[in-house]
Amino acid sequence: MHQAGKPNSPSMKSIEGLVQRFERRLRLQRIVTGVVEGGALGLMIAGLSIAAVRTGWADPVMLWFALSSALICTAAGALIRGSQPIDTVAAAQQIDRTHGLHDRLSTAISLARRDVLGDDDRAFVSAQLQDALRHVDGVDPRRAAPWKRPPDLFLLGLAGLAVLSIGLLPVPDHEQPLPETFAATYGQVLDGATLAMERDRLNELRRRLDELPDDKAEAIADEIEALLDAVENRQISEREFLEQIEALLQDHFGDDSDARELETLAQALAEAALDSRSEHDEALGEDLPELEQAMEALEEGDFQAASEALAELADRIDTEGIDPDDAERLADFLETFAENLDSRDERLQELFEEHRDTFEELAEQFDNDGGMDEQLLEDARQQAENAQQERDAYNESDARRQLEQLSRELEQTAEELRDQAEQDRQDGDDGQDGQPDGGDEREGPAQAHEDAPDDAERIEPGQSDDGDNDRPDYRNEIGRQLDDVSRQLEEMDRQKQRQQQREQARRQLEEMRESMSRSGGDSEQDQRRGEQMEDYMDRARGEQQEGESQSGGGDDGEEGLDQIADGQGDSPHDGGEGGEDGQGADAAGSGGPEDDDGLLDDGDGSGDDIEFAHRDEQLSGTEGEEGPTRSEIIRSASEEGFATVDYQDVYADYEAIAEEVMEREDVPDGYRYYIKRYFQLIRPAQ
Amino acid sequence: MAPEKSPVSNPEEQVQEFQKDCGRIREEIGKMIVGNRDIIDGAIMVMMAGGNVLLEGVPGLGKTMLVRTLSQVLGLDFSRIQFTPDLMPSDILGATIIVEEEDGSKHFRFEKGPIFSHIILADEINRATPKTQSAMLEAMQERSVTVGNTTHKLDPPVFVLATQNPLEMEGTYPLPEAQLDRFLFKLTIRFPDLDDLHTIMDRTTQADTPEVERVVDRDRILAMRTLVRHVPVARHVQDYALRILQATHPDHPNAPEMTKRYARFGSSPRGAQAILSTARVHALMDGRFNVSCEDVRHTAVPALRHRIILNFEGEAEGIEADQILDAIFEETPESKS
Repeated sequence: MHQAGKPNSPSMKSIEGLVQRFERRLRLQRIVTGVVEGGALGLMIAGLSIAAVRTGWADPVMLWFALSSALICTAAGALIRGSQPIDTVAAAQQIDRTHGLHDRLSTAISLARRDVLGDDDRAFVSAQLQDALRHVDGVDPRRAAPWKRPPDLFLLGLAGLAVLSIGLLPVPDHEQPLPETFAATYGQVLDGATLAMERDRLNELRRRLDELPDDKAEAIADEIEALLDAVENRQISEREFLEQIEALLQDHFGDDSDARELETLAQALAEAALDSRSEHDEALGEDLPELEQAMEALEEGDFQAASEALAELADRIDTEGIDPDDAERLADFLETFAENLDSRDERLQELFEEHRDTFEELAEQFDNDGGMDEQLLEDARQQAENAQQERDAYNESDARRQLEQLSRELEQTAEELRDQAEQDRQDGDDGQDGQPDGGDEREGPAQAHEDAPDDAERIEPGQSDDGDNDRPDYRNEIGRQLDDVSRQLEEMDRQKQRQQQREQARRQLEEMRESMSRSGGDSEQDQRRGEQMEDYMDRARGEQQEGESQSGGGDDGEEGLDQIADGQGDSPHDGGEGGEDGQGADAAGSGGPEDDDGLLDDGDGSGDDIEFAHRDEQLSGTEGEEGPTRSEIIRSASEEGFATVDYQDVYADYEAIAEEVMEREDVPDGYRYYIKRYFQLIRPAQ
Repeated sequence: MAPEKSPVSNPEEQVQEFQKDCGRIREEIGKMIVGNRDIIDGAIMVMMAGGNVLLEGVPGLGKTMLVRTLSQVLGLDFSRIQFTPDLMPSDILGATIIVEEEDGSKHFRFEKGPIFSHIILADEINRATPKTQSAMLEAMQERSVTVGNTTHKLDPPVFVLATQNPLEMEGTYPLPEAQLDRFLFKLTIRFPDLDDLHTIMDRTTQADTPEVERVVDRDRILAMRTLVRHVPVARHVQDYALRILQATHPDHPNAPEMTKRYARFGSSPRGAQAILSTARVHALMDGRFNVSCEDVRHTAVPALRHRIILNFEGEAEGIEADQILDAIFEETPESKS
């Protein structure tokens, strides 16, 4: 009996074996629990890794980390849970509790591990062991340790679903195309009417460019169109709008050398033509009307007309020939014209050198005597130097080259004409001597002039000298050279037209800037606006002070109401204001027949024909001392205050004033049309 | 006193006899005491464990009847002491008196008091003065009475059943904690239900009154007490009992929240002794050779309820020690792992 309580006794082995089976089952459950816990943790880590990989935050190598982390966590969970110690007595207690054994098995195991001293106690322990053994057979470890669902099984399933979702469902990542860049929408820089008008002007410019292509003007037109598109789409602010216009003006019109050269060219030709006509005033228009027309056209700067006139002359010489005297006169005239072209430059050079010498002498003299402001002398000398620099620039310019080329060709033509005339006279003399021989050979058109007394001396087209067949056809040569001159002038005209196209683009840019200034701006006080409006009305009615209307420097580029006011205040005999240069021309007081080439060519202002011939005038304004000009006042008023209120109000005010003035004053119908057209263009959209 | 028979010569047989005798005792008592099976079992367990019982209940619930019946069944002497405020210790312990012989000689003779009995009923013990109570409780603990220079051993078994009325507290002297600790169990007698009342009426108001028989004698009781002490208690069961004991202390880490909130003092180690001693008896009464955790829980309530001192909050809230013990049982696992 006493051996029964020993740990290694068969009875105890039976009990311990039962408990060990229970422990294995319990350990297995713990391992499963550990697998579930570790698996859930691993799946969560794997899910994060997969998400990081799929969204591009991590390298695809991280997938291996995900897989390994899941496996490692699962194994670690099983290992940790499985290695947790199990108390045998506690396990036996669990069996006792589930089987209602009242701690028989646990007590047996516990007592077997404890030294029992007395015999009575050993006997009792043995009895207790036997009592426990009697209940061993009825013990089922599965009942003691029923299979329990791991507590984290739901979490495991959830993590698995999450991993599947992350792995299978499309996950938005940061590599997807970014949303379109936010397009800032700005306020309306130009109103719709102005925008439409500017586009019309641009289309007109493009039509002109189609007729006469100009790369530079094309580029400007493209940039203007892009700018208008940006304005229409409200992709540009007022400041950017102004900056871009300034940039365009600076890029394309900052250097106005082309315009100056063209102006210099036209001026040189006009002066040369005027001088040449004054020197050869004798009946030039009767025998050579084409030359007379060409010179007049050159004086007016109309290269096209001059070219056409010269082309007609060349054609007439080509077809009808030219009288030797006329040829002589034509040669003299062309030579004079060529000399005038050259002498202009030489005179300027001589004048400059003369002035410089004078300055140097004065400087030396007053340096010796003293009492002369050295700074004044230095300024004068500096001005002379600047003139020299400009002179040098002119010498290197295309205008100079063109003038030189034209001069050479004219001289060559004149020489050819003179040689031809001389030769014809000689041939005429020889012809008179040998009339019977050579008269039969004259045929064709020459036959029609046989009644003319000087027909024998006339240079006929196709005429050949029987005695000198190797002589060149001078008539054709003269016609060809005149054609060259004509083409050169035509080229100059094209240059002029291109320059006009660019100028038109420049005006459009400036007017767009002005339109923006009128339609934009910060808010101002209504009272101030009212005062400005009243001031504007006074001035529009011509009630301003006398000095204000007569003084002030020229300010080219003013138009619109400025023109209207000028047109109303000035005499109709002034011929109207120049469309682009009206204010400057008016302020300069240079009206009259010479200035009657502005917006309207109808000098009395009553014409309503919009077809007009105009000439670009570059007038420099002079600073006045009697206050701002009318245009300055109106412009400053519009920039400072008119745009502070709604455009509709401003428009209504302006239109009312204009209507009032038109009703009260005797405004020509042509002007009325432009005024109404203007307000129609600037009418608000709503 | 006959020598006790070694109970371990044949443990299986001894346990069976123990279980059988306890069953017969229970049956005989049950003839007179209706219901209150837990009280009867508690009384038997305490007597077999060698302790004393404090019975608490309103008058008329059969406390005295229980003690008398128990003495009759066990074949032991019985004495009843009605505690009153003027009761003196000598009234319990006995006194030395001068005795004149027939020949005229006089000598001192110790006249034993009612304490010199096997089963003593200390009725309404809280009505006596603390001095008298102390004399009584000393005899209970030491199993001896010292009068003068002479110590008188009490003849075992000595089994004291003290009663107290929880209602009539005026003019009473509640037992101090140190004296309450001397009682192994505190049994609370509940009011019988309707069926039990019917039975009581039937048995006490008719002509035939039930008679009880003696089931065991004094020697058998002592033998059974010896057998109880040999019942082994496993370490984990003892550990469970001790952890329960610790949990009665509000400042112990394992104490449940209820203990911490309502208890002022926990049980002394005597409480664990009472638990394990009576648990052994309970195991034997169940025919087992070992003490189980169920035995511990069964005996812990009457063994600890009078050892847990409630604090003011507990008293004010009307918390009973049994509620704290229930909380302790819920939060104290049988095994630590």
